Amino acid sequence: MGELILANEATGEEMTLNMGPQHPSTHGVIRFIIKTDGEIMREAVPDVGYLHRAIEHIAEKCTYEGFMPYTDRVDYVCAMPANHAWALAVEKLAGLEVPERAEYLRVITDELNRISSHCIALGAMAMDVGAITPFTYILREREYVNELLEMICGARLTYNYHRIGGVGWDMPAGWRDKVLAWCDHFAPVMDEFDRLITNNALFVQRLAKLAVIAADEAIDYGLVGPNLRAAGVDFDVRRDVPYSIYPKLKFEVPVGRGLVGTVGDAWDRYWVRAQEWRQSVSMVRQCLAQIDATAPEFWKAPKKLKPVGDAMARVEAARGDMSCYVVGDGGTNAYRARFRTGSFNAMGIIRDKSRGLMVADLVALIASLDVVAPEIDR
Amino acid sequence: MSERRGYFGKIAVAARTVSEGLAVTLAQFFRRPTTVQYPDRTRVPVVDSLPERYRGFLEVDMDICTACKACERDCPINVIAIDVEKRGNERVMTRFDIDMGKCMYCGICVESCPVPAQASGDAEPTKCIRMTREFEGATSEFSSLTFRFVKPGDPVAAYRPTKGAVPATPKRGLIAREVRRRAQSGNPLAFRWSLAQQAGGALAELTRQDAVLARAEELAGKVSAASANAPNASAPNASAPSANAPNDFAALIVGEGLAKTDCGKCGWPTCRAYADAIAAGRERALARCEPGGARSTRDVTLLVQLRKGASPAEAAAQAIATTLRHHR
Amino acid sequence: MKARLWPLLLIVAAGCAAPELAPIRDARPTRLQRGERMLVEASAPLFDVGPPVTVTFDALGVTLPARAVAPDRVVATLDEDSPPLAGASTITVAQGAHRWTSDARTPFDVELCAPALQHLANGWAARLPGPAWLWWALALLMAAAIVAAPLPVVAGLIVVWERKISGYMGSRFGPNRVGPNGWLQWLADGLKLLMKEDIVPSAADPRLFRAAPYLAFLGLFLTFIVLPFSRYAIVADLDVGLLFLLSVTSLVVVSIIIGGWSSNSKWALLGGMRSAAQIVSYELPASVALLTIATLTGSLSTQRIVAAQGGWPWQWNLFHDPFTFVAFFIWFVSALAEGNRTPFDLPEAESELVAGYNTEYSGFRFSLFPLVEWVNIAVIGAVGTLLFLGGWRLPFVDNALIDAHPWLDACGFVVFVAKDLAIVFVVIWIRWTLPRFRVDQMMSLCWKYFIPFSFVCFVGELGWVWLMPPLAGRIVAGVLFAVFGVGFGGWFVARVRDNARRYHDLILNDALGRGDA
Repeated sequence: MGELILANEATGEEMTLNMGPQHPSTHGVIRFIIKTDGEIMREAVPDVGYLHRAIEHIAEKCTYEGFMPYTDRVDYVCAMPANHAWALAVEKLAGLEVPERAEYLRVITDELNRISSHCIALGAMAMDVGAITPFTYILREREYVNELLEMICGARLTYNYHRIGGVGWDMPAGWRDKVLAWCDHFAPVMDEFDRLITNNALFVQRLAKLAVIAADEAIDYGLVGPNLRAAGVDFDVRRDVPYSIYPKLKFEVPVGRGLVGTVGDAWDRYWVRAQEWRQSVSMVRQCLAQIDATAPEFWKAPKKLKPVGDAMARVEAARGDMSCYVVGDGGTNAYRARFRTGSFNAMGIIRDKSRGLMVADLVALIASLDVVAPEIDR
Repeated sequence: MSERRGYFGKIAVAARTVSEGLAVTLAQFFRRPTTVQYPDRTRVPVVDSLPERYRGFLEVDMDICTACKACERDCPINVIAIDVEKRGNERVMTRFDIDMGKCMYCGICVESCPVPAQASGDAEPTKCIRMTREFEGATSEFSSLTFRFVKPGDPVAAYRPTKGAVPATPKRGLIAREVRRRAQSGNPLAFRWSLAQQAGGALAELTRQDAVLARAEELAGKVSAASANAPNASAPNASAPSANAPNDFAALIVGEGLAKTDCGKCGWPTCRAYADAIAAGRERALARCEPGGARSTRDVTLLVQLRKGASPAEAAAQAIATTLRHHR
Repeated sequence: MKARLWPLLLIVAAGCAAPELAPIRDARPTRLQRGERMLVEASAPLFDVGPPVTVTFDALGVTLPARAVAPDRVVATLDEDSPPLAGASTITVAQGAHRWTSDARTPFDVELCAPALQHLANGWAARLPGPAWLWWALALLMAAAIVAAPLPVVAGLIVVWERKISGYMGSRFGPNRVGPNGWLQWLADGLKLLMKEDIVPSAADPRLFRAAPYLAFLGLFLTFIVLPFSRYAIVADLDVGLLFLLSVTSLVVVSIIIGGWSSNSKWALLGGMRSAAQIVSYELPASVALLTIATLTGSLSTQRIVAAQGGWPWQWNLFHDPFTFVAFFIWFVSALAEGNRTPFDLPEAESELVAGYNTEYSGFRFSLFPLVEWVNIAVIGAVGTLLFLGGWRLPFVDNALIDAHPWLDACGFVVFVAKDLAIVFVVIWIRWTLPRFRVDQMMSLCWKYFIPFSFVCFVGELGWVWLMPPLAGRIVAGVLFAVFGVGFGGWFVARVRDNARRYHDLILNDALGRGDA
């Protein structure tokens, strides 16, 4: 379709449009400068930085433990893996041990947060394409996850749950049953969602063969996570660079198959996330079954934390490979902290993929890459 | 997949998937909505329904606070301010303020507190400083988000803990509510600020009796100085624009009264032209200077009145009336 | 080559098989009100111009005075008030001792109507002082007010209903604070819009910019003239009712273009153009689908179309034959597209990026555009009901029964409104389920799918009406009703119940539970 339109290039002057930082469909404060003739875009240039809060600089002003709440804000939609990345990096730097129960709790909360993050991703994708009701359903489900995480750590978005050396709290009484009840509730909801929107002919028509990203392109642009897997590259940090207790869990890694269009199109990026949901639910169940066998200790807080050296940790956040690199110089604060997030690289590919797309497709493209502004700008 | 389907196949797929979608939404239509209608249609107040670990407003039970300042040190965002003094051989806290507007509700202060406590109604132990389930703090004055746990002028002695004992502490949330109420009504900064807002803020400051009188006396000196420098006011061509007496006075108007921007908003091309017109009596409206605002109106009125020979008190009264009439 | 020739052969054969021409060939219009004239045409010069002529409707027993204006043409006038009479009747023209009758095998569908608005005005003019035209104008204004006054309320109620439906479908309550359970929300929103500042962009064309919303309202309001809410609740039963409907709804297109263009903003213009292109494209399949029904009934008059259907579902046009069945869906989806409703609301929803034609509008002028849009949904429902769902027809009830018991007319009104609201519900339901089409997909749907199908339906309907014997037709209607009405309906209900069964409700916070309505 894109080729056809380029061949019949519309006459008429070119307009420069601004899809401004405030916008209902840009998934945060991101700005796009769009050059278009009104129908087809020549290109859409992203302009980032509107949500830059100098988080990495703040790390130099804060103690290692004190920085944990700030990592929530690196990607507030999916905060637990960011917590995890920082904890992992500092623990590697300082050579700390983490109790096994804490590892299980970390993974449970990571996966729950991944589900709620994908809720936003898929719901927003449906909404950007015009179907508003699926978004409300998915927010309802996310609400349940928020309630579960609120029970365990007291907050619904910025959790500050993981700690250097463990996690902040153990499961409260009755929490496990509630999580399992929710997993039972969520299973048919996923199927219902598929019936409602995933396989809907109009939805498929909008997303199939849109902005196809081939595997080598994805690797060249540095895409990670579901974007990379949708392009056909079978890589997942949890399986290939394992951390925490992921080696003890059985899970599959969905890779894009081009079921309705081409491998690497927008629908594939949608589909990969819809499959990851299911895997996450299964992982949560496995963890809850295995956690009983662990000792009750959940936090080995270090007495003195003044490490020297550098360390890097990689976790699989909802949006892909989030790496945290920390340098310690012997003081209470880090000398340098660096977060590498998936959304930042995804912004790079938008410009090239937008050439020849229709204006309405740009929104679908951004939504399919699941970029969130906090991750881009930190 | 859709390629292989062909013309009629696509129609069939569309019909089937659209019908499935419609069935899903219709099924949802008949279910009970999941909305919780805050604040008036909930079964219990939302505050009481939140989980025990909810991280809402902070509160400090001053009865068991040891003034160790660990929370102040560990707060990553420096929102806790504690002042400790030695009075006699006792340590007292004269200030324990937490800025809940800036706080990021991370709970690190709670973890660093060394004093455990057991609050009534809680299943899990808590601390001297703890987060509550209170979250309703919306206010229009930022300063009323500063929670002061030590009343100004009423210092609290530091607690000496007994080793191994876990003191009892009131039900969580009561202290926070009290402090919040105090913050929103008793906060002296907020109180003065809101008073000023009620009185009109800047306008009230500008038209305060004593301030205007002082300004009138100041300007009176300058007016008489200007007149003293001028030649006789009954000069033959006093109406000429280059006559000195009005000139000096016009310069005074520009210097003391107008905004000196030459913006033209008053309707005259330059500030000087406006001032000349006022001085010559051609312009009667003294509130035209927009960038100058109320201050300009007040000062120009003062000058004109003083020039006419009014006393500072009379000029002040006239200026206050004029300014309020134009700018309230 | 052969495949293309045989339709032609069929037509020629039909022509050859046509019956002999009767002396009275044609009479029109066959529906008369007081003061109207009927033209009767003979197949040969039969009459003397001059001597008096009478025209009789044999089955009705009514004789009208007439005069011959040409040797083969006679004009009859309905002078007196006639009680409402209708029926299939042959027409006999008598002049002197000669009598000529039309073909008994093809009687005319004659209807003599009760006094209309003009007659009411004439009555006033006769009894009260003042010029006649004044009373006519007053009568027309009165009718217009009765029709127009409920429109904002109707629009408002439909808006609130839509928001409540979308709420419940989205697992939440819609508006439920203003008024009883939220049903006065429209009043609050309307008042708010009225109180907003009326901004006319300085670069906009002052007159056109102000006029555009009123044009849209005009186009919409005019459609109510021909909508038959019951046997007697219709403003004017025009003989060209359907054509009138199609024509006035295109005023809305004109107003959209004017609104977008006069805003003098590039994006408003583009949005307006795109919206206009969409509406104009979908006029074609919609019109041809309507033609299918017109072919079936043999008339463009809306009241006639309703009268040709029955009260039971298998007597509706929807299930009459496969072609009308498909025509319904073509018409319905095209009507959605013309009304800018999801899945065709890209011109509006592109206000994510591109602003639609109504960007520059604010306040009351702006409120007219959504008002038009929502009343348009009601009009879609009304047109669908009258064309395909049997209109106000009740089972077991025919016209004579309605005349005998006027409360049955009110029942018909209620039935019409209920069917109308059912279609409105479906329109709203579709909006809140489906994503939207992209512009090129929408155009391809229209030109590659709908237009071919609509022409197939039209030509097929022609053939059906011409060739299908009544008994076989009724059997087909029954089968269609059984398969698509009962069968599909049953399958759908089963899917809904399956969805309902699979969902496990969950309340995590026992203390809070669920808020009550």
